[in-house]
Amino acid sequence: MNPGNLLHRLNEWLDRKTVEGSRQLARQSSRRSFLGRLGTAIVGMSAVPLLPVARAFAVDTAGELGNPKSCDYWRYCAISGTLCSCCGGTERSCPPGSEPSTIHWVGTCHNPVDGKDYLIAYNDCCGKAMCSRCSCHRTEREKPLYFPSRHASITWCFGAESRSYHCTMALVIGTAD
Amino acid sequence: MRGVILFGVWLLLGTPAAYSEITTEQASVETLDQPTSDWFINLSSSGAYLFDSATGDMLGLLSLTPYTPAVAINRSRGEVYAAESYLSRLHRGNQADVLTVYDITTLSPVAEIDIPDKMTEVTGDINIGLMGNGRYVTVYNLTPAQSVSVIDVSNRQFVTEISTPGCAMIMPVNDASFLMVCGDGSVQLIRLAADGTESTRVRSEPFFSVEDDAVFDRTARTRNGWLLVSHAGLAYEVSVDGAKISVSKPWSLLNDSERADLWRPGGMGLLTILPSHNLAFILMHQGKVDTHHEPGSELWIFDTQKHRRVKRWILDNPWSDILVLQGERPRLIAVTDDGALQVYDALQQRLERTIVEPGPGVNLLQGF
Repeated sequence: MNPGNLLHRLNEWLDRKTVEGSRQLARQSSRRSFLGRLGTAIVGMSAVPLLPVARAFAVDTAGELGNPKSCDYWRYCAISGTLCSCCGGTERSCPPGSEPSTIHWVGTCHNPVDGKDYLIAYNDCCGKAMCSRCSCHRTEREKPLYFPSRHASITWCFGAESRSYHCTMALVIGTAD
Repeated sequence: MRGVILFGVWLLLGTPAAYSEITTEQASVETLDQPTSDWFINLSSSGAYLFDSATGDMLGLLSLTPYTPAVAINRSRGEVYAAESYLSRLHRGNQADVLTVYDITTLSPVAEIDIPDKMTEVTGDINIGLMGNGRYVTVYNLTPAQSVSVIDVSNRQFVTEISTPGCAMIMPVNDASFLMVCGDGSVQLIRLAADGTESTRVRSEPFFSVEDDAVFDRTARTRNGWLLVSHAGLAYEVSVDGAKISVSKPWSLLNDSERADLWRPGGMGLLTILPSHNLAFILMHQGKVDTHHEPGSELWIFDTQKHRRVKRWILDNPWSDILVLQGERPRLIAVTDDGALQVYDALQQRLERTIVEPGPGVNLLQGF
């Protein structure tokens, strides 16, 4: 068969099917319902990248360098408190039996591995006695008390069951760009 | 043999006779005399240690909660006020915040006034204020919403909570007013009515940039208002006339050469003032931006009227906190690197004594 004839017949078949499909769609639905379904489909598709699995593949993690049990660790550039890493927890987890605060103050720290600035949430762990190990006080971009969200000396156990301060974590919550 | 017998008789008869001459001691409890301007407290995590700088002796202890930011002294009523926060099970359980009234001669609590469970635990004498009329005490709240609790200490009752969004700190002025520093670079004046409720509220124009050069949240009271110092070394005096706020033109602690050499103010308690001599004492160090809590390697003394430095005092070891006492012979208290307290003649800069073991750490020095 001539390839030109084959292509011509395929185009005719596609045209015919498209016209039939459009007419069928027009018979079965009003324009408003069509737009409604189209909108639903678009919104539904936009939600797909927000699923956890997709996010896990899409987001880079901050490069790591240094010792989380040392005040010099890059995430601790605006910390004031004792390190959960030295108290049975990590820079991202509270020690056993303590409760993470639901709100926090925010620092902006430079990561020496990738050269980017990251937003660091300093969440306190609460509800136990203060863990008096690895006490640190650093003040990069820190602001005074009248600017609470960037003040390092506030105990952020506000949303926790107890205001008793135990130690402080340092979680990456985004880039500062 | 005769000597031995005589010695035995002495042991049997003489020794009991000697003991019987000792007066039996009874335990007693000290009370304090009227405070002098040489007295000060070291607010630590386990209470306020009271010392006499003239002798170096400890006079007593105020047992306070670890959440207490500072105390307010009311000499005319013979009382000390402390915002305290109690948890029913020490580190957990129900929270109860109170303003405790302590007797100034016994350092014992004589009254408790319930206040909203919102008081800040951030150390600083700017977080509790005794109004000029001696009747109202204000306590700064942070939840992190910001507000101020007003307490009537005459009638032993909580009056009201005043919402102060965006503004922190309490700097009393006049009889029943206080200034606050706000996050937009302005100061706010709140005046209380006769019943302790808010009467008027006035805000200055912003006069500093929090991002570019914030003022410290440690301030000092002058004759006419309050002295504010910025991280880069600008000084502002804020005063109040009725409902009008006046902010002075800033003057610099540094000349061009010192600025180029990266001198800047710093420390936890970096600023103290002697209004009777128009002198401000400020800890200074060399460092980059954001080193505002670095201890001072030098103490610079400024004439607050002439806006010029009168003394540059090089320190043997860095100091983090200073306090000048307002006595006839003013003394300067300094916290050294190893946690001891040193007492100096403030005008001669001469060491008088060192107080070792001033308590479990030093969070704040306050005059008594």
